[in-house]
Amino acid sequence: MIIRKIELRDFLSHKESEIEFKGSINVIIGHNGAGKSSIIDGIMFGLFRDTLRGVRRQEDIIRRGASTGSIVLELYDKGKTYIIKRNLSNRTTEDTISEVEENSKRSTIARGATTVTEKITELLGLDKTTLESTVIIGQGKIESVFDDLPETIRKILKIDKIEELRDSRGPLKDIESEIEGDLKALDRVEEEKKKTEAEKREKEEEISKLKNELSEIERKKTEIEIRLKELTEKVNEEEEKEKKFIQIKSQINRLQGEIERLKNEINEEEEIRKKKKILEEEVKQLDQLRKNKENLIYLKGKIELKRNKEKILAIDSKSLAELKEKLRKKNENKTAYDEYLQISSKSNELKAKENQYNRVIAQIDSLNEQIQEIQTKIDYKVKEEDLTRLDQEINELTRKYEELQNKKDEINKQIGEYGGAKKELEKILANLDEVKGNRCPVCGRELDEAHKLQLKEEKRKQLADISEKLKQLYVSLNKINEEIDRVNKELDKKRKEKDIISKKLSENLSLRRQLDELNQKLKQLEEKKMELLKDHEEYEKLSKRLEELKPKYDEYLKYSDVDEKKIEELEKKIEETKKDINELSKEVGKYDYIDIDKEIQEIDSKIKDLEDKEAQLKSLESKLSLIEEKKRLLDRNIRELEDLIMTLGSLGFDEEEFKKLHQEKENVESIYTQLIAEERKIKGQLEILEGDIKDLEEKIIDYDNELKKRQKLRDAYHKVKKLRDALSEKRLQAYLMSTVKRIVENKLNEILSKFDLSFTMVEVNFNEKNGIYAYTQNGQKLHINMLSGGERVSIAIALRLALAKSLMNDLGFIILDEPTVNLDEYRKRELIDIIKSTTEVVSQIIVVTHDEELLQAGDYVLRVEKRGDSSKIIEEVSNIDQANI
Amino acid sequence: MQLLHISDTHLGKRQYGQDFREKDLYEVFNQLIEIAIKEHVNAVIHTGDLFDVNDPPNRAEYEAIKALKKLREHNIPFIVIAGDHDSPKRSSSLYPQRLLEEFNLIKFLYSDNIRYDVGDVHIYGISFVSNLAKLSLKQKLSSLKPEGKKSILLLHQGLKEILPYEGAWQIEIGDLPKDFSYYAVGHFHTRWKIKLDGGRILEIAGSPDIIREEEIEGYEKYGKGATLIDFSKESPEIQPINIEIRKQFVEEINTTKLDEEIRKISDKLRQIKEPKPILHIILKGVSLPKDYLNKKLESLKQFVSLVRVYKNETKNQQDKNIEIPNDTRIENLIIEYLVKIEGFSRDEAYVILDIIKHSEDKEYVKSQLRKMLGIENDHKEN
Repeated sequence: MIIRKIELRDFLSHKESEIEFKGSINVIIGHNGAGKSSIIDGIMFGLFRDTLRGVRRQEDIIRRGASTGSIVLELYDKGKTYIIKRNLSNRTTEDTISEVEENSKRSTIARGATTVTEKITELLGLDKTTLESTVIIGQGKIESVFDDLPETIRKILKIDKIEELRDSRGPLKDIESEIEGDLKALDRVEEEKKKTEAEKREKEEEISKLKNELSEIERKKTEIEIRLKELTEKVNEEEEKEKKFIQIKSQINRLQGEIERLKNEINEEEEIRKKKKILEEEVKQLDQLRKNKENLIYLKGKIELKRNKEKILAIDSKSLAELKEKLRKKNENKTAYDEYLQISSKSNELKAKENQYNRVIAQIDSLNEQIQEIQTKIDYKVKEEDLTRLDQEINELTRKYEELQNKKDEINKQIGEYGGAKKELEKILANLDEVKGNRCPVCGRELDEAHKLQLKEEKRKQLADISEKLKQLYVSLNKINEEIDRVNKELDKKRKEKDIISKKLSENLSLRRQLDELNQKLKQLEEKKMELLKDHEEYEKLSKRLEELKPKYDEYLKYSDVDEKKIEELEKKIEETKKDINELSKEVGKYDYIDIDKEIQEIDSKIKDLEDKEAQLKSLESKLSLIEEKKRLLDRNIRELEDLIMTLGSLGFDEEEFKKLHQEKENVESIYTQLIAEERKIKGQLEILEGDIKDLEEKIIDYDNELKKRQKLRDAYHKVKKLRDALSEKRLQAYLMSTVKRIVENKLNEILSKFDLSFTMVEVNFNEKNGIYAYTQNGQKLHINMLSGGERVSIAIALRLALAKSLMNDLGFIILDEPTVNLDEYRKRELIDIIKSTTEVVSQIIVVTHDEELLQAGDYVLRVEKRGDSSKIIEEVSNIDQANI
Repeated sequence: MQLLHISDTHLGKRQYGQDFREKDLYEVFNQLIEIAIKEHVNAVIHTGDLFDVNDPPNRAEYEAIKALKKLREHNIPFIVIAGDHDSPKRSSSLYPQRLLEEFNLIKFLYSDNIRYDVGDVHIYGISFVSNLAKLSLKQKLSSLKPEGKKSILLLHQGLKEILPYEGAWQIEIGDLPKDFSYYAVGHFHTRWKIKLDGGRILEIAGSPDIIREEEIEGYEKYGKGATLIDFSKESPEIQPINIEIRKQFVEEINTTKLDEEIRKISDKLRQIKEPKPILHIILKGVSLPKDYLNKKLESLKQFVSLVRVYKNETKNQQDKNIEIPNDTRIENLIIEYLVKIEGFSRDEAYVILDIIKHSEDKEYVKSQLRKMLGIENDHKEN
């Protein structure tokens, strides 16, 4: 088995790489991070869906930036190519492995991640861990095989798995206990079977006993059946007679009862007839009483009518008196009423003039008010002369102000002049103090000290004078300033005063003009008033008279509807009513004073009493006619009874005899029923027993069937025990250990001979870490750690190959990832020789390295470079071959 | 017209890391040169792996130059192709033969330089071509047409008919060009010859010494050395010439009668003259502690130059009746043990193997076991 080719798509750093392993020593070279170890990861992923470096998360494996990826790995073995496809996607895995035969016939042999891995494990003969412990060699791990040896061997030999089976809580022991349990259960089954058989025998005995009893009962039953038949016939005859006897007897009884009842009823007749006579006498008064009652009711109506008429008469008489009084009052006011109407019409004629007069009066009032108001507004105290006076005062003040200003300017000018002189003097004095030489600071003349002092004194005096003058000037200036302020204030006041007076004067002028206009209007209105005054006085007089007449006028209007005709009509009506009342009084007579309702009540109660008696009389009459009927019925019944008694006598039925016969039959029947019950009981018991026996037989068959398994279970039990023993440490495990040890040692020594080492032999102890010993030609036994580096690497690689080859006869490849890490130059050389020699053992070596020196070993070189984000594979073909062909 | 065919001399190899083995190979090469001179051959043809590696120790180059000079003195041309061992892997390296060629000691056939005539014999040679270029090699072979009637083709390639393993061969006999009279082939270390149709001969001279243990059997049958080719007539005749080399033996020792067996071998070895042979031991019988065994074997060392345990076929006391099967996969070992030692049927053994593999799945194991024991029905309901 060799690896032919691998295609990486979006796998780790590879975007799209296709690598064919064409040589026997294939060197994949590149800088760190170029993506060369990813190729080994790709191979591992292709084989086992895992990476050598343990990167397992899909998103870590898929090249950054891609969402899916895939690996296609091509293996070759004995003419067959195997193509493994594994995809990387976060959805589903679509792994397949196909087999391509030499004739290119292609078929998929497994599908699905796990199945494909299982198939590959089967094809390789090695699983992932074993492969990693042997021919896939990780960075710097060549010699780790020594350390890992016991563990690797246990894994390879499946010792742990075998032990897991043998475990005291493992499946073998489980099955063993299971079978033990089953066998014990079968012992119980056997016991049950014996019990069941005994039970069956008991039941069979019982059945034969019951069958004997049954035949005895049947014999007795036949005898009784005959006797019962005879009796039944006799009884049936007698029963027929009895039926007729009972029928006639009951008819007789009924008739006798009937006759007795009829006789009793007929006996009442005499008494009823007596009662009837009395009642008939009483009922004769009834008609007279009814006539009396009708008469009384008629009278009662007339009395009520009379009372009504009397009420109406009283009301009408009162109305008449009132009407007469009203008419009298009406006539009294008649003259006043007429006068009122006449004056009222005159007053209406004057009404317009009166209204005009009233309007003029109102206008005159309004004008007078306005005139009054304006007169109050006019200010009579203000005069033209005041204004002239103020103008004079203001002129005077203005002139005074100007004078003061001129004075002030003069003083200021003097202050300026003296101020300048003062400064000049102060300067000269200061200079005189500072002068060091004897020269005048002013004129530059020569100065002596006396002269200087004199000069100083002179100047000081001048300065004092000026200062005094300046002081006085400032006093005068202050006084003048105060004066100016005062004049200014006065001037201001006068000007304001003048403004107010001139304003008031113009206002007064305008008001006087308005007043004149109003007085003019008032004069016109007074003239108009005089014109209307006569009509006004006439109107006033009429109105006063109307006022006096008003109550009488109203009184007349109040009774205007009352007249003589109305009174006459009412007097006539009263006369007629009186006549009607007289007539009714005659008709009613004495009843006008007696309580007629009481009379009517008494008659009613008498009538009711007699009506009850009339009903009793009628009931007595119907009873008497019934009694006549019954007398006829009684005769007929007596005749019928005589006939029946005759028939009964001819029947010849003896009740005592019949009872005896019946009793006998019942006795026989009860015996028969007993027999049948007994028979049924026994049959039932038999049926149960037979059912029981059938069940028991079935049980026995079941038990037998189960017991048949016993031998099988015993065999199984022995076999499981045997298997557990066979798998024990001393048996299978020991066999595997010793056999594999032999195989591995042989292969190891065989491989080592290719590596040109000089040992007699190399021994491997599987139970010991680093348990490898070499025997030298001198007979020395050397532990692996005592050997040279080169020898150790040789043995490590040989041991790895030996392990792999002992598991996989046609192992074809070995993969080394960065084998020179940590090696010095000398050991690197040795390693290259070892790798070369390895071609004698396997046909394919894949070396991944960054070490350019290893190129010496390779006959096929692939350079891996990082281009941008992804890895790029460049094939480096040696031109040696090309030259030779 | 006679030619001497030699091959696979592997100069510079230190077998078993031993000095004397390196010397043995120089000695053998010298013997072959002596034969060529003695036989007055017209030329020596060497079909590859003159040196063991591409960069041989200088001792190897020295010994080669010394011997080839002798040959040149006798005007015998040494015509050689490169083998897989001495070919450079990188284009920056040189064939070691190029040095010898530079001193006119050899006629080296490589690259475009593929022909050398000796009299009327046209000798063609193609140095080793790796698996990588085997298709091109086949094309080249198919287009190769020799001149004249007598022609020899020198090749150093794996032939499928002899080395039928994946990666071990590049061509099949059928790929050889048809018109050569003689095909001299290197690479395979045991003498071999075959007559092809039309009287053509394919011949393998083999290595002149025992380079690997596997060659011992062939050595004992056919000897080791060179092949003398008589090309006087139209069809060549061949005759193997054997040389004296250090003997190598493979001896079985049954440990149950260790002393007796060692004594027997000692008696045999005592007869062998110098050089002392190399002894490869196959251990049989019951396994013994290696220390003890090693001590016992020490007595043999006086008669041999090197002793090594070649195969250890001893067994534990209890397993002594069981042979190691050819298929040594663990699965097969388990099956064989269960059937042969424990007496399970083969079907049962396969079930047991299956449950060992799936021991972590207790329920599966139990159900398989029940099936095997025939008690599955009883527990189905449970």
